[in-house]
Amino acid sequence: MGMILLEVKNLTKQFGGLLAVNQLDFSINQGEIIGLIGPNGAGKTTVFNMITGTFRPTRGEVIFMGEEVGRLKPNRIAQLGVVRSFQLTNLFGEMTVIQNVILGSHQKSGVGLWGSLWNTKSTRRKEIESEREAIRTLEFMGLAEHQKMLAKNLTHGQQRRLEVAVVLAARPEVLLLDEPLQGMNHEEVRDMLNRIAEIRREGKTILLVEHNMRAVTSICDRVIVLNFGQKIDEGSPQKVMQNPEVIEAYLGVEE
Amino acid sequence: METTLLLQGGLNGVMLGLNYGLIALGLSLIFGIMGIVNFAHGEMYMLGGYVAYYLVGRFRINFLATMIAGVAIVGLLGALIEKILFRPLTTRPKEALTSLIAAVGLAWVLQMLAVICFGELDRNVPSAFKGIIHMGGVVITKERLAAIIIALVLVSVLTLFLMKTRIGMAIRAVAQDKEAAALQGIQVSRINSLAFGIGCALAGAAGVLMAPIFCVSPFLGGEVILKAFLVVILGGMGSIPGAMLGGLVLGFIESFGSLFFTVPTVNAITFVLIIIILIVRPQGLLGHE
Amino acid sequence: MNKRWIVVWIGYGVLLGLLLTIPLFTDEAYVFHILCLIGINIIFACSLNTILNIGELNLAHAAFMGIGAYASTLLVMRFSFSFWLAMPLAMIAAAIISLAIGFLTLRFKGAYFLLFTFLFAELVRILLSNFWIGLFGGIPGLTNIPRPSIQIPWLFHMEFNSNKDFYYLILVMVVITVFVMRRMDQSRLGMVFRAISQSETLTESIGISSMKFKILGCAIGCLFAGLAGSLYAHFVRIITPADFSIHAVLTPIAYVVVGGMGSVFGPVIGTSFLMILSHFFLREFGLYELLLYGVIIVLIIRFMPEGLISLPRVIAPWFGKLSTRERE
Repeated sequence: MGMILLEVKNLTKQFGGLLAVNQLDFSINQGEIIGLIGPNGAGKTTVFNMITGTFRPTRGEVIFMGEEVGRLKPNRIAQLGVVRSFQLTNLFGEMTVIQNVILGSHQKSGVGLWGSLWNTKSTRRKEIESEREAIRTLEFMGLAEHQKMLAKNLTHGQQRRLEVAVVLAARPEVLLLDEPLQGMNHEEVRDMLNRIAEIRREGKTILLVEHNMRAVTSICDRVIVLNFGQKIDEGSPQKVMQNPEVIEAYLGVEE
Repeated sequence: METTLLLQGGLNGVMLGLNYGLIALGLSLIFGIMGIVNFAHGEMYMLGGYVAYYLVGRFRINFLATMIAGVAIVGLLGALIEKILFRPLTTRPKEALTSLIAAVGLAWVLQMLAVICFGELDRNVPSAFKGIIHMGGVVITKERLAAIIIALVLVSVLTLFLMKTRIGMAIRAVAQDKEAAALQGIQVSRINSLAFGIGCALAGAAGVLMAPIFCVSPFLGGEVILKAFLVVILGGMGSIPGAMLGGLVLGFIESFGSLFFTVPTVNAITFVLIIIILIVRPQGLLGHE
Repeated sequence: MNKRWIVVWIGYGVLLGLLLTIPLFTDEAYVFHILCLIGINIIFACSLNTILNIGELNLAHAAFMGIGAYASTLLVMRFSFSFWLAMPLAMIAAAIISLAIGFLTLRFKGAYFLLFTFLFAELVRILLSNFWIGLFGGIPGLTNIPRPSIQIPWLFHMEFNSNKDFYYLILVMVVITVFVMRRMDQSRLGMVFRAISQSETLTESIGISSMKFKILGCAIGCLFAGLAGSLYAHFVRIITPADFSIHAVLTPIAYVVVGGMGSVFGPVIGTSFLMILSHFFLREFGLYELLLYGVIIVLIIRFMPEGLISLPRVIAPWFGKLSTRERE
């Protein structure tokens, strides 16, 4: 594949007496789709939180494109190119679909605050460009027809798709998707997997937390299995699924 | 002579400190579990004081019963308020802000109602424990000593409750991670009501204890909430030991400060100190992150 | 879309025209006194709304108005500045101090800003009441603050001594304030503010520094609070520390909440409505009036959090039902 894009070394998180993540090592190459799986409470979201700067690692490093980012603030890490979605649907509910995506692109859009305040010509141009780009992203995720709807009024599946659209709008190198298929029916799952594959074809790298094992098997190049905060296996989905330790730890949510 | 003055100040500081600590404890509890800054917390203290005024002062009821009544009345009121005012707000957007404004409005309403019902004037509440005690050269009224002891008892009971009982552990679980607790089958909404009620009850208890020592007035709430905020900032928002420690620190600052400076100066010094602490160690003495 | 735009602008024109012609109908100083106070409160409420729109409650907002008031007064009376220079300087002073506070406290999640502003308001009151009494006038405050005047030699000379004259000044200031607020609301800046108030974690996760924007929003809010303060000082001509205490913020919170928090005109409507109600109908109520404000805040937040301005939206479905019933 490509070079190592994101790497965690000896990543550890301790909350008081609870060791949530313990000496985790893995790396992700450019262009890969990696699955992070494990039973509930295994520490997957905590790993996400450490990579994105929401939590500070107790020990260990997070290295993105060769730079140590474990101590940076979340918005800084997102600016560098690591953008996540959330396990529980997190959108700007009171805003329209297109506004959500425009906000996602704000940081990289070059729309200046002073300019936008006084509606200067150059700002208006950039705003139009932002809107066009947002529509392109929405078309990519199949939501263009709902652009004027309030985000809170979308169906659950549409909201999950919108979340991915917002992540894409932020022009990430690496997408961290936390259970993007959660609550979706078969149709929606197949649809979303296609889109994720499409995102990879565009050159992005994806780290996925998922419970849907069939989806994981079908789309992930590699899988990392976590249990009680520790890595218990790593490799292709097929190989990992046959590991008795994995089966025992994680009876899985078979669709 | 100098040491006696210091000891006297120290004892007074302990009493003030425990009082502030009790109030701040309730505030921290509510914030830690529900994320709500209970602006009406001072009014709960004030109501506790008025319970003492009426039960001890007017109806000559004994102190223990008054204490229980104060805790129960204020606690139940708190649980009721949580149910009808704050809980419906959790389902709406911008919950932090709306619950804040609701609390501010509520504090205002309670204060005005108190003025209308109880009158504007300060009222004296007779002591339940009359007499003074000499302890190693220091003089203290039995009332103040009782306040210290009872406050300590209350804090111990609360600590035991939180550490040892099942409900207490459920409360701590919710404080740590609401979603995880819900997944384990804990009814978060009931815990919220309980926590709010207990938090208010603590303030009410402090109000009962302090009523004979300082007077009661409908404006007590406004003064007290300020101190409570100071303590919570000092000790760390959401930290229970922090609330007690912060309370004691504030109590000592006020007690010793008043020996040397005027009240406005003491207040100004306290504020500046707190601001400095906020700059240097923003999470407070015992706060996290 | 275009039609609606024309209607809206005609609406503004009519409103402005009405406000400008009030002086034709009456000369009573008292009426203009109230109108000026309403105007000052509208500016204050709008600026408070700015901070509410980033999801924070600034309990020291009145203290910032006080900073503007005292700064403006001292610049004019002690240092012989012209009002027209003192006013913007006072605004900037308020904004700069708010930057310091914002930088200190808006870094943190949770209630630090709220608590800190509460303490800051008290601190300001204590400082103004008890320290540097020669400068600030202590508890009695400062009096005999001069009204502004415009002096362009040989060309133009205007004193704002009468309430009616000051009314024009206030009107201009209110229009400017509302215009700026509206521009902000419709711009990308306003959008980011709204985003932050809805979900700070999401905003951070897409690369936007919520801290930076919160500090900015706070500074803008306090800038206009300073404006309200300066205008207030030179209008009422007496300022005391008690005018700018925490209690002074509570009524404007009611104005904003009643009018509608998220909107530009909400504070305008809420302030006008409640102040007129209070001054012309509730004069006798005293304490009960204050109680009423508290109750109103709680009820509106609980049942109609979008305020009066959302009334058309709330009532519209009912009209729909009425017309279908008529058809049957």
